[in-house]
Amino acid sequence: MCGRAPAHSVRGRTLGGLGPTPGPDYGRVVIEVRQLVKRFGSRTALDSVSFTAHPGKVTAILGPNGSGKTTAIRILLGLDAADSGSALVSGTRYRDLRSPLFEVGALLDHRSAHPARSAFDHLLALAATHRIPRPRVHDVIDLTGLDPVANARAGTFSLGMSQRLGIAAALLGDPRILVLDEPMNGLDPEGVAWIRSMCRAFADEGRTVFLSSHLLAEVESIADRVVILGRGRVLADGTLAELGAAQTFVRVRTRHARDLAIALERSGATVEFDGEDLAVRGASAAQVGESAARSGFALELLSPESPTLESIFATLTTNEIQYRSRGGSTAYGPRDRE
Amino acid sequence: MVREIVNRPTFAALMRGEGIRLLSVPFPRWIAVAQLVLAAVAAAVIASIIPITPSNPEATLEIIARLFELVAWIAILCTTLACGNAIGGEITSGAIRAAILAAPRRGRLLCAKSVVLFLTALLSAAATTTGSLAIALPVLAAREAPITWSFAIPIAIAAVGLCTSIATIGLIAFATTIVFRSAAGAVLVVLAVVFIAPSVTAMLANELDAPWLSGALPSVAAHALIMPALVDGPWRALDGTMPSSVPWHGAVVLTAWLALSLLGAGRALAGPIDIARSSPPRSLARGTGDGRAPVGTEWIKLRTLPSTRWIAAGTIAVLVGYGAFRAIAVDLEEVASDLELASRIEYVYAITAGIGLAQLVLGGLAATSVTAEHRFGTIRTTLAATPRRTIVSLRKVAAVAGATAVIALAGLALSWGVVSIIRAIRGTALGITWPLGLASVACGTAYLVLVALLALGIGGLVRHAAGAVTALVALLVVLPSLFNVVLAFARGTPAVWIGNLGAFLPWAGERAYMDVLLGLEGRVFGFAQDGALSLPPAIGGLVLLAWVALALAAWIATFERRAV
Repeated sequence: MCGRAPAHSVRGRTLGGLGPTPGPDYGRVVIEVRQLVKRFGSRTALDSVSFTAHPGKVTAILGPNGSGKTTAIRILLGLDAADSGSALVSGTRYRDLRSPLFEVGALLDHRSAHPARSAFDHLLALAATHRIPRPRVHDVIDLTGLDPVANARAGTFSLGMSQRLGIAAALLGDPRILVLDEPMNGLDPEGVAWIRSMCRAFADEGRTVFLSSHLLAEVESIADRVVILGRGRVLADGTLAELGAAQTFVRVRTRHARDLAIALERSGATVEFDGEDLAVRGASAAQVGESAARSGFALELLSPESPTLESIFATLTTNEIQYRSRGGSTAYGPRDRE
Repeated sequence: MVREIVNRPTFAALMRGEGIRLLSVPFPRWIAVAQLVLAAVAAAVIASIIPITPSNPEATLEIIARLFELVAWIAILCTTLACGNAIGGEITSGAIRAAILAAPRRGRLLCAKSVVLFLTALLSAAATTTGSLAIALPVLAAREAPITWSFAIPIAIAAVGLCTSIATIGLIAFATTIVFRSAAGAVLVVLAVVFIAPSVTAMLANELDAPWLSGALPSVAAHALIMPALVDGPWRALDGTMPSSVPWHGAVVLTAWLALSLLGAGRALAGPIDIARSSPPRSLARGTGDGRAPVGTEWIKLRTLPSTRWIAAGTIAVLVGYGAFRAIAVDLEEVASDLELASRIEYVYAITAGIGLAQLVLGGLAATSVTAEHRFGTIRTTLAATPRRTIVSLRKVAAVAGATAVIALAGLALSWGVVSIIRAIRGTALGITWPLGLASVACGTAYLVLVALLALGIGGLVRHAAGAVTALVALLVVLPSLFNVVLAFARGTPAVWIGNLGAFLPWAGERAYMDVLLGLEGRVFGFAQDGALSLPPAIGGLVLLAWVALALAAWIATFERRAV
């Protein structure tokens, strides 16, 4: 592939999605999904879903079960046809890629090897289609820690081993893009850490990582960008910092909560009561401290809080569910339709 | 290192990948070995027992023709199973997804798979044919049968026809499996078309005066490719029903079948093929564990599968359709002596005409009721709910017996009604009594239930749907024919005992109840003058019961110990 960036030229850690990272390739879009619609019978699995993924970044698609993550990935990989919209990899449809294994390494559903075939033969058959030399098969087996079971039938594998075999298949062509559907499923803590460092290193080489998950905590530490899906629609799309900034607040605990709240609102901040505490938005912790000191209020707690992905996610999906249940109570609710 | 090597997935590379896939799963390899061994045994038997005519070289070619006929039966059975299984496993395990991701152009992938499979099946068939010749010819030579070098050309032509048609039928099974997304259903359909359709179609073709109907079947086309080179003049099957054909016609017919099935496979492969359509029984999600209805849980599992409803409808349609067809098609006017007996025989035959096919379909239902549980792992859920495995087995026996009894009874009763009406309309009600009709329905139902239980036992033993279906077809259809061929040649020779073994196949049960119905109880245990064994009906029924008991007992006994 002539367009592939040599590994050494882009080595060096990119900072988690804070602004554009220098480098010739980084502005390029390698995964582009536009206005994707997919219906299964009367159920809409994807409702005009759009997102992108970029070189040098780990992009995570998040959502609860049934939110359409896997459907989007399947359409992206040409395994399923969309009703409308487009899904492009490196500017073309997956099925038009000249050498798909060199371009995209994909992991879907664990257990995608024949139960009676050995892990080695499974990889060898895949390698043969792209004339990938046999030593590379041994390489990925080493890399994924499959050596002890390489000649065992895939049907005897544990969930974690199947997952490693899927990742080995994805890495086989040393691809520029990794697409991983729920890669952490079934892995032990060591395996999860390994996936994380692999994804990070992969992106740091200027390649693209696109993964889905519902284990939010697992992705939080590696994802540069997140796309949040709920019921087939994109609820949020942006860097972690962008998503977090909207909801950063300062938690304050004081005996004079009411008076402090009035003082803070007068200076332009927004204040909400959170139990006994105040949640202050629009003012930094230092500003809140100063304001309290001026009024002579003693503070028991002053802490800047940025929400975890979990809480962002919970807020977004709760809204989504509320929205949906309001929709369901109209003249033709879901039950009536059936 | 890989980074520099940028290779497109060329067609040759795809074929290499498919070759590795095909050869790295043990099951097709075992089947190929089984095919080789079975054909070798058949060759040894045929070459040793068929009478030799030292003065007539044509007779030797006739023997080779018989040998090739047996090899074709064995190889079609094995190759169909192996080819259906080769792709069925890829689909149900989801391994096909990896193949599609590496070769996203599915048309090319299908072509690569087809070519590799065809070549492999061709090689295996060639090895089988060569092996059987290598055993048969020396044996024949040792018995001083005339063999000359001039045989080489007709034998070679016939062998090429044999191998090509076997590989083609294997490829048809492969394509049908993609359409069905399940090896068991596809193998059942292909074997039914190859082994059962000819007799029905021959009758139909005869009635409609349209001999091309028979010629349009793949098995008849295969014969047309094999036989003319060996046997001078139009070749006729043992039962004399098949029309003579010329080889080019056989090639056209086989190609048409292949093209049709590959077209269907192409369409199926264009869809989301990597999501297995079949699913575990839905009832497992429902609460059935209250223990009040012991058979209930198995019954619900059977009843809630969409395939069960399809099979029930199909079986009833087959029984009624065959019955109606036979009642309409067969004329009794040509019978000169004892018209009343002929009329009674025809009445019983018409009511039960569909049993030959219905037994395979119901057997498939019974076998998959247990193999599906192993396939999807729901057996673990079942055993978690009922840890005593023998009880699980007995519940399955009861559920399968009940379900098949209901389906068979409905089909045969309807067939009885339809046949009686047609006979009444045609004014040929001679010798027809309602006890005879009722007895036909009852005996037919009993036979179908017993065969279903046999299939259940086999399914539980092999835990593999396609394998169980093939074993069933072998036991019920192919082996009886093989032994009949052997018996036909071995009459009056010391080797007649090999042919007599055929009397102890499960099929004996069907003959037994026919004899009872038709008042032919006169048959007693004994040997005819030419050494052919005849069994009284009671023993025939016992033979079938023994097979059923053996299969169920072996399943239940081993199920207690085997891991799930």
